[in-house]
Amino acid sequence: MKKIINMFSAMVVASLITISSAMADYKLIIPSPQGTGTSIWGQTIAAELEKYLGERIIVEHIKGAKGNLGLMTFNDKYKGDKKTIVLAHGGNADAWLIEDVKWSFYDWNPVLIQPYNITTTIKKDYDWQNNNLSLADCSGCVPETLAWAILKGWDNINFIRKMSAGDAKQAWLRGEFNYIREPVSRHIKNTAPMVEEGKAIRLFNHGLFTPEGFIEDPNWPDTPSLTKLYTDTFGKEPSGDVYDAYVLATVWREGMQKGLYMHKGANTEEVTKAFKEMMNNQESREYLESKLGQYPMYFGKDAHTILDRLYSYVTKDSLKALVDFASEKMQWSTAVYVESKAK
Amino acid sequence: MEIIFILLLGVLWGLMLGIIPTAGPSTALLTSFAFIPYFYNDPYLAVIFYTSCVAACATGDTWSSILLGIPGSSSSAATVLDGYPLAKQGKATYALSAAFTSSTLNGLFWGGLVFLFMPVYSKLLLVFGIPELLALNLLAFACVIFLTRNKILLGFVGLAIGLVLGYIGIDENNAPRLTFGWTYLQDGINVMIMAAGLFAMPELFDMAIGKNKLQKIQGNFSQVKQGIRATLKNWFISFKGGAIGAIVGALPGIHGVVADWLAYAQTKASHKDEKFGDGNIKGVIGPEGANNSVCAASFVPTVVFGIPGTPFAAIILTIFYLLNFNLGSVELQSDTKFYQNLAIGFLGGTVLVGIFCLLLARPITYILKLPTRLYAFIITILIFWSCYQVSHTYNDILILIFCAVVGLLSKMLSINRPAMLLGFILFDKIESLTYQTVGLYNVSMLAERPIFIGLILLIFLAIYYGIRYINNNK
Repeated sequence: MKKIINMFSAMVVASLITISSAMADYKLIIPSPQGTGTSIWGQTIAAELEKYLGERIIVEHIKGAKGNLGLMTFNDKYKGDKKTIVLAHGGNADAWLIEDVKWSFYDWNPVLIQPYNITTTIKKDYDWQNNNLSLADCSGCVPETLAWAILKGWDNINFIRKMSAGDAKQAWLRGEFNYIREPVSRHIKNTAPMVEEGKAIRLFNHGLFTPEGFIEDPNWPDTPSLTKLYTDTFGKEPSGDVYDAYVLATVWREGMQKGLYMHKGANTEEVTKAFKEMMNNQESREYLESKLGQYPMYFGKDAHTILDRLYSYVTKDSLKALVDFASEKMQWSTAVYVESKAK
Repeated sequence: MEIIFILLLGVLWGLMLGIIPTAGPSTALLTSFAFIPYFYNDPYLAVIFYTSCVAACATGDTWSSILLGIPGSSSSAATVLDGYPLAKQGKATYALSAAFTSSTLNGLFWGGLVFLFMPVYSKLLLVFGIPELLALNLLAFACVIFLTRNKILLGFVGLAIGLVLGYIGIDENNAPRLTFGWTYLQDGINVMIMAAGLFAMPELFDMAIGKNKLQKIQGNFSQVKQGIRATLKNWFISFKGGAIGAIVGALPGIHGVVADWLAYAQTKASHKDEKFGDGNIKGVIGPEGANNSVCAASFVPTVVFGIPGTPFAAIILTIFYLLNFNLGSVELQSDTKFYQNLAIGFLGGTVLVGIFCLLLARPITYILKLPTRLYAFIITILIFWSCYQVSHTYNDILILIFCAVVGLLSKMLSINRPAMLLGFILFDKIESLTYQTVGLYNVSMLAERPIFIGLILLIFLAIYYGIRYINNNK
């Protein structure tokens, strides 16, 4: 009996030690399901960063409501927590602009921001200027919806409701859709071979966001940005409300395609220092580039610079143009203009 | 070597949960969520583990049907009718041996046809467009009639509840629908939590309060031989049961429980001069033939089209999604390793579990001697933990409790739970595919699509035969 009690006590002590040490660890909240691009990005960063942080980073996926559940949980439950980090992606950024969500980037400090660039590819035989286009109403595709509205005019677009990005991708693979939009990693794996075989054309991307604004993406020198495609095709630069809305939605989605944030007062400096050490280590940097693509990572002051630059695009006019487009053209009943978001 | 080890683990887990009364493949999968992280490095091993787990469970559920008179799972309920009386007559080993032989042989034959040719079936997805997928889902919906059996009203009540629960989420204008301001519900109720609440939890409740009399295994090895011989002698009954299971399983939306009863009814109808219900071995061989084949065949609509017809298939869909295998997607077609591992898991699992059951009958029965309360408690904890993995918030637990209450009440009131799950799963798919079809196609375009027309005709046929089936069951 004594033996059993001793064993039980040892187990309880061991469990308490494990629990208390887990409580001391950092936590990364990923508001997306396991297996998604965002999840893989977060887990890759966490696994590498903890070597420099000197403490474990426990990854927790809190998915649901297009990421809002995870972001709300971070905002409310972990307020005042010094060691919890949240990962927000470009889709969350556009949701923050368009909807009246219960969290705000203004309340958090950026730790790291990585801009990205989504590519739109069309079928070789699709005459994009003269034929109608069926477009999926997916929540993360607002910049593409606006881009096509600029290129073709909204009246020439058949907007298909209740069609996710995944559904649209399947429709493209089955030959029912004339376009596909995908992040670089997926494009290289799935669609780039079709382009090389002459079956598809990379029509446009959005360019690469830098602290100085958008530049043509050096990763895709043969693919124009939407602005360049429009200018080359129609002989004039795009302008107007829809274009303003496009710039805002795109700057935010691509500019902060992946971002890590902590609450104000949290151990941001400690984490930033670890990031610096990690990126100064050639082996770690090359490993991350091989896994996540050769897109710049901004951390510390640079992350603040990027975020401030992004905020500078949120003017009352551009925000209103974006919300109006989402509300009137896309008929999103959740689109709400919140003036306090505009600087 | 690693593959064999994983196969063995999957079989042991599936067998253990299969033996536990009323647990079944859904519970086996739900309780094995803890293993998922171990497969992140090589998710293909997970395919073997979970498929072998299902195969083992489909065979293992016969134990409690015959020895306790309680169905090991809903799809082995018909086995009780003649299997339990045989056990009471001291012929438990004979009945078990016949059941395992029938189950294993059909599992291998129909499983072979399903899994070795799965890459061929998967090509169907390329000839299917959005309208065909809509028609296929509507066909599954029409098949609900078969689930209602002779309780039409309760069947449709179940379906209606399922549809209402499926309605929760966001509407076509991106606005929350029936969420009552609860952000969590904007994604709708997770299908795995729904299946756990509707099916696993009510059975666990029964386990916690149940008192069952275990029949002893009194036979010797000669009874094993007699059982094998009985199945081989009645091979056509077994084969017909397997064929019924394969057809029912391959049709999206028809629950495995239908196959079991259809096979039993067919066996009875073919032997009108014989008495059933008092321990006729044919009444064991027929439904057990359907038991494994229905599991194997139900992988076809689940893997190829992403339409889970059974509760366990709904859970498999969630597990494979977490492991980055998007069932029903075009990309999966070219993944030959995935299909190979599905075949290894199911066929290897079927062989292994067949051998275990025939050779280790006596030690296996010890599991049934354990008080049901003990494993009911452990399984409940594991299911709660698994469901918590959906969003890692306590919302998952609240929804599980809600679904469990719905499941318990439905069970008490005999409201059709398979119909409820089907209505729930299909609502979202039918709604989005309808929007997509209407947006992309007009009537004349649809009229030029022969597969679509064929499927529409099949829907009418399903309704017609469904009504006849109901009338015959009155």
